[in-house]
Amino acid sequence: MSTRENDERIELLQGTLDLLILRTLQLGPAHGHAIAKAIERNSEDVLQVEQGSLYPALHRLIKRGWISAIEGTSENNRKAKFYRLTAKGKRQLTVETSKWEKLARAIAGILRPAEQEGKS
Amino acid sequence: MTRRRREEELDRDIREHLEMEVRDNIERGMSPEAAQSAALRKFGNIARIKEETRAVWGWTRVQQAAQDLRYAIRALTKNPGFAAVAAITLALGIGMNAAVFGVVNSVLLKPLPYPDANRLVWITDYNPRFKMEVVAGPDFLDWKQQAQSFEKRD
Repeated sequence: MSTRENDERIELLQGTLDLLILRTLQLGPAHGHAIAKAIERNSEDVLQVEQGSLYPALHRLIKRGWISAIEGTSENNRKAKFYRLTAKGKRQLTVETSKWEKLARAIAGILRPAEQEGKS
Repeated sequence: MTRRRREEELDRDIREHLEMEVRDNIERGMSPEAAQSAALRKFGNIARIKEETRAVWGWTRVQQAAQDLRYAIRALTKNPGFAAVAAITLALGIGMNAAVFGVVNSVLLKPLPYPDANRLVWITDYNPRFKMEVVAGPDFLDWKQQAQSFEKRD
């Protein structure tokens, strides 16, 4: 993980971290560290998330009512805060996902118009 | 939830996060020291992250003002000599200002306490020997009786 060269990694675009957090929490409640790990693992370590930046994002999502925090016990039997997707958050995830797919399709279409036909 | 509790919970969250990362790193075969520094590096600037999280909570400006105030009080109590000099300087400055303004206000700005103060005139004689305005007593009495152009003469 940390042995990978830094230049193979891509910095997150503004605003995408929120989407990634929501998507990760769709699989069930998780604490901060687990969310960071899941994002790294599922992106095959390409996405470079400064782990700490998760926390302002989590608190922002709480404030918007998209996730909620509950007290729980971590795997090493400590009290830890677990974050859980709310109903409002689930709806938001759908909206954000389709927005993102639209954006990705549009950019892909511009970058290689020829290949676009066969792909989607 | 109170601010203090939120602050404590954030501290705890971050501490917990770092511990998990350190443990993962050790399991991957790092030495404890390397695991610790790798976890910190990966987490980023803790103070900045806390600052950003607080900004999400809101009231940052008020909090910062309160922090500045506390800092000012601490700095002043640590250096009472300077604090005293600063306080005396301010007191003198404000006092002088108030005194001068008091004089200016009553002498220049406020109309004299007579009816129709804008119609007042000042009549005098000038004595070149003493270089001052003096009026001889008899002259004054004459003016008082005979200067009919003035409504009232006192």
